[in-house]
Amino acid sequence: MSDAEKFKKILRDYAEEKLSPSDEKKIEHLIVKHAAKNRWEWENESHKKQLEQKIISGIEQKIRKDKPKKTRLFYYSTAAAAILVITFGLFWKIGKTPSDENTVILAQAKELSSEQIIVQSSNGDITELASEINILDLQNSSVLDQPKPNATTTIQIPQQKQLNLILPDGTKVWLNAGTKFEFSSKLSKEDKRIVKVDGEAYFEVTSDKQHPFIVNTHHSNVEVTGTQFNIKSYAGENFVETALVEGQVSFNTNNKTYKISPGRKITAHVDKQTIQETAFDIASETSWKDGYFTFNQTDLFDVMSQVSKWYNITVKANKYINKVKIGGTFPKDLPLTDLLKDLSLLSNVEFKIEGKEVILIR
Amino acid sequence: MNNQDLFDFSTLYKEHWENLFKQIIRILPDEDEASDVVQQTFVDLWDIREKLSEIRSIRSFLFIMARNIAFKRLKQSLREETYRNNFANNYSSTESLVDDWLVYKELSTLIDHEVEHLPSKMKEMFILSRFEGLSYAEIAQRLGKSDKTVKKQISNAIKILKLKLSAKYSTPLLLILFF
Repeated sequence: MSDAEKFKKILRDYAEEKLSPSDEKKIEHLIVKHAAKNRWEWENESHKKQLEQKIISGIEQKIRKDKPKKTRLFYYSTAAAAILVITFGLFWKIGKTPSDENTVILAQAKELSSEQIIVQSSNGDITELASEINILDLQNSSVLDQPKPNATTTIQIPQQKQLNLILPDGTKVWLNAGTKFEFSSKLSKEDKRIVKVDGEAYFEVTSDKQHPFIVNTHHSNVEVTGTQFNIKSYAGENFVETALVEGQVSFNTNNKTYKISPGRKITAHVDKQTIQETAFDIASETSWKDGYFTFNQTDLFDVMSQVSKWYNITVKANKYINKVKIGGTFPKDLPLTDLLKDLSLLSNVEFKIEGKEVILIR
Repeated sequence: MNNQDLFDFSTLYKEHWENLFKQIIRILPDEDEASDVVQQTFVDLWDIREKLSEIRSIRSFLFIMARNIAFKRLKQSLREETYRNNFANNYSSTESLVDDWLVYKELSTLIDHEVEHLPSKMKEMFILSRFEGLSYAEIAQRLGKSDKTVKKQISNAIKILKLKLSAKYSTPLLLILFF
């Protein structure tokens, strides 16, 4: 392949979102870096003046379009600048209060019974895990006493907590905040290893062809032998999403089976009975288990849905906010106010916190 | 930056538009497209003018905004094969770009591996700095550390990585990745 062909291939991958965020940054950097060798200059002074004027009038038009007040913005005197401050200052204040009928609820906080991780056995035992525990190894420890035959164990994760669980068969599971996870004490001995998820979980399944691993959710089940994948399915939401990092999974919903290949994710909308298969960005989908929110041109509403689950807050928005995209990585141990401050700067949307509610205002 | 300066929008424009335009036309090699990006940048700036006091350097802030808009549009246009071919054919230094890219791809696999083994705080700062492109000040703010600590930790991280990788690879290659 010639360099030109290689370059076109890279550009194509870039355009089709096939590069990782850091690869994407790198190619953007290289495009600027190497293009810089070609210096660009004005043909003459009037060429420059023309363009300067053209851009100015464009800006004026656009700014005026979304403000009712017709004001010429580009006065070149300080006096005029002072008048502008007053005019727009006033309008800005008026424009700020959202009325109720324009507000939609994006995500709802849950009633949680504890602020600690709870492990509950079907024979009645309830254990609250100490708050510093974030790994629970059921292969080697006796945290859960001697499991009785046919007992199921349920683990509930509260807000702002997550748990890395190692199941008796060696399978690793990461459970996100607000998730309920259920498994049988005989997991490693039965024909099929069956677990149940309400919420979000990331799996690294120990390979065992004889004993397929099955994840049940409210709307689907996912069957694998050994593989890495993320699954999202909350009882209160009408979709289930499975993103495959490695291996192969079969995704079953509505009596239909779909095979997914690595790097693809499948979203099933339960009400509409539709299935959507797309590529996904591994970092955005899985970095929650490493303690980060990673957004890659993610829609603000999706961002807030994740934020709502982690901090267990209700999120409302002025319905005219749409098409806002967010990119970046944020540690999940930040106080909510800090995170919102960052998001506000990036999105130009304001966040108002009222108790357990966050309201988005534009 | 006080309130008066903040709304002195036209001064900001006069001061920065030309520099911005010259930077952006390297990304989008078309006068109309580049001026459109400059225009959008100032419209966006106007929308967030209330927050300008939180921005440390208006110059680099404007540049980052413009750059993001430009690449978003470039990416969109590059989906079309004709545009892609034109862009590639008119690009002046394809060969050196592709060379840099291939070296980067090969090394980044190795770096990723080594970065995983850095101490956790150091790793976090390094990732924010090199892969997310945050400044030392931004990282310091986000993690609640001083600028100095962040700078020190990142330079230590680079030292460690260089040491581990230079055993296998020559230093000039590593420079491509880190600087």
